[in-house]
Amino acid sequence: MEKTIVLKGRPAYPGVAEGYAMCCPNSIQGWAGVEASTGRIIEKGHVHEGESFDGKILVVPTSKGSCGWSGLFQGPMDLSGIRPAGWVVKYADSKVGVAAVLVGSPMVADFEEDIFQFIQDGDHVVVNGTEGTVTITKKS
Amino acid sequence: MVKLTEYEQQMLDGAFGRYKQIAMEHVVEFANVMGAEELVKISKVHMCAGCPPLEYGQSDDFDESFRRTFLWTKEPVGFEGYSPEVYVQTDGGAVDQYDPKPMYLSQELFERNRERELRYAQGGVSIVGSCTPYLNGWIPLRGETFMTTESSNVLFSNSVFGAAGNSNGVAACAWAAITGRGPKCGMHLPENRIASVEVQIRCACETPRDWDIIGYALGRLIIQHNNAVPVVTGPFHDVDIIRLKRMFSAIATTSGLEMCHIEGVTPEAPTKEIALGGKKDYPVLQITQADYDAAEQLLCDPGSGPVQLISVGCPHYCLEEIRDAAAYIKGKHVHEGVRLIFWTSCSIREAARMSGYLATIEAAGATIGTNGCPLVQGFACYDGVTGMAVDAAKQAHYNRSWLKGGKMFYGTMEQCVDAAVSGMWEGK
Repeated sequence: MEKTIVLKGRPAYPGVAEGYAMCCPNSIQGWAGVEASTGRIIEKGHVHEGESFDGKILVVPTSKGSCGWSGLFQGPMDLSGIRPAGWVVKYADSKVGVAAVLVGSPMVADFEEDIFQFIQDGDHVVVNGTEGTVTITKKS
Repeated sequence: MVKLTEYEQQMLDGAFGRYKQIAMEHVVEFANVMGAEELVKISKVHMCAGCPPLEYGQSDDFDESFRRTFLWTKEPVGFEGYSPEVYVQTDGGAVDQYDPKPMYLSQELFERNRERELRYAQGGVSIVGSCTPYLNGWIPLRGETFMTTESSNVLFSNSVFGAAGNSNGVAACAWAAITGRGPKCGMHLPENRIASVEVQIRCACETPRDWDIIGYALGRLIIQHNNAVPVVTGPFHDVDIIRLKRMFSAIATTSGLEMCHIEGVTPEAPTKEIALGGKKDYPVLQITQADYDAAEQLLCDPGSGPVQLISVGCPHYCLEEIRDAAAYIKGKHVHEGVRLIFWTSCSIREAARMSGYLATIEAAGATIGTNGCPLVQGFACYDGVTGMAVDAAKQAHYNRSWLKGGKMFYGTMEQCVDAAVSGMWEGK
């Protein structure tokens, strides 16, 4: 039987999205962090270096580094329409907020729990940015 | 949902035209994402103009580029200027304002950038092109509000000037410059400015390079504590603007911190107790010599090796640093095949010219670069580079993503100049 977990956060950007989790416990660096044409992470030593966030549920603690952080997502959107399908964000700072507006994917944010204790790479995640719920089905 | 004033609602309803309406729609959406209850007036904006140093939004047509980069709409709306109530000064851009050649950039880009700078100037923007606008008259004081595209400037203006602003993003700065508004959240709320953690410095803390490394280590530490606002405690002495801008630049590289109190130095931290808002129970962290050494190891590749590109001045050098660099390089000469660039703003470059520093630096075969650094002008400059030397943690950290296997060396300005003269980095 599949194990399902539901987390409750703040509904930050409305809508419902689902996909597989891409967990970035150290976020993504805000400058030179993503290749604009592909959405591929190019930050040296990143746990997902070389992978694209296209269609994934991106799980991050918050932003990191440069004010260009939202540009990590604006570039792939502008050039190729590539974007994360949804977001789960432990704490949404202003850089995350701008990214949410530019990308337009559902986001749930500002959790009391450590989200990385509950979501791992490859888990199936439904983000309900209207209700503020995140439903996680563990990878079997 | 955010509550608007009558004026803000009129703007959102389109009473001042579609251009302002689009920007206000984004501001309101942004405020709702942040859970902000109201908007705040923004009095100063610092953002890239001319040709922005971005891979996206590129177009031969200025208005299309502006639309895709800043307005973020598919509607055929172009640049109609910024609000006269907002003072806007430019951050770094994609090409030098005097000579594109040291960064291997084209004359065509140089000319297009100048055309666009003039378009922005007509729209109310002061053309400076620096990551340190506070060295060039863009100084938001306590009670003022700001937005900036430069992360170290967020830390500097909140912490040192006591002004209020958040790290937002390139597009949000344009929305604020058009509407004069931003979400009232983050550092605009007094309770978020209070420190919640103490960071004790227990390592070498003398030179600007020490403060740079401490900033890098502090950022690595504080991101593990959800970017909690720290109060940094000593012992330290002789704190000056050079050390602070170095530290804040490095912190902003490894964390998302927006405010950093320094006991006895920054205005909201006359004492540790005041910075902490009277809290009795708070985490106490330390930057030890082991943390310092670990950060230094991450920044500088081991050993020695040839270098071809040497970039000094991050954040942009102030006139005092340019003076010191000119004094050190006087009588020396940069090795054939090596580029040595000291980065600053066009206004400080002009003062350096008036002071004779520019002539000294150029006589040594080095240059003063403006309007950026390799991080924003570097798409071509790494060609043929197997070794690069820098004097800033931020440069060492980010340039690795583009250097594609070349060695990265990190040291003092003097070490960088010595490497430029010999063509070799002499490691430990």
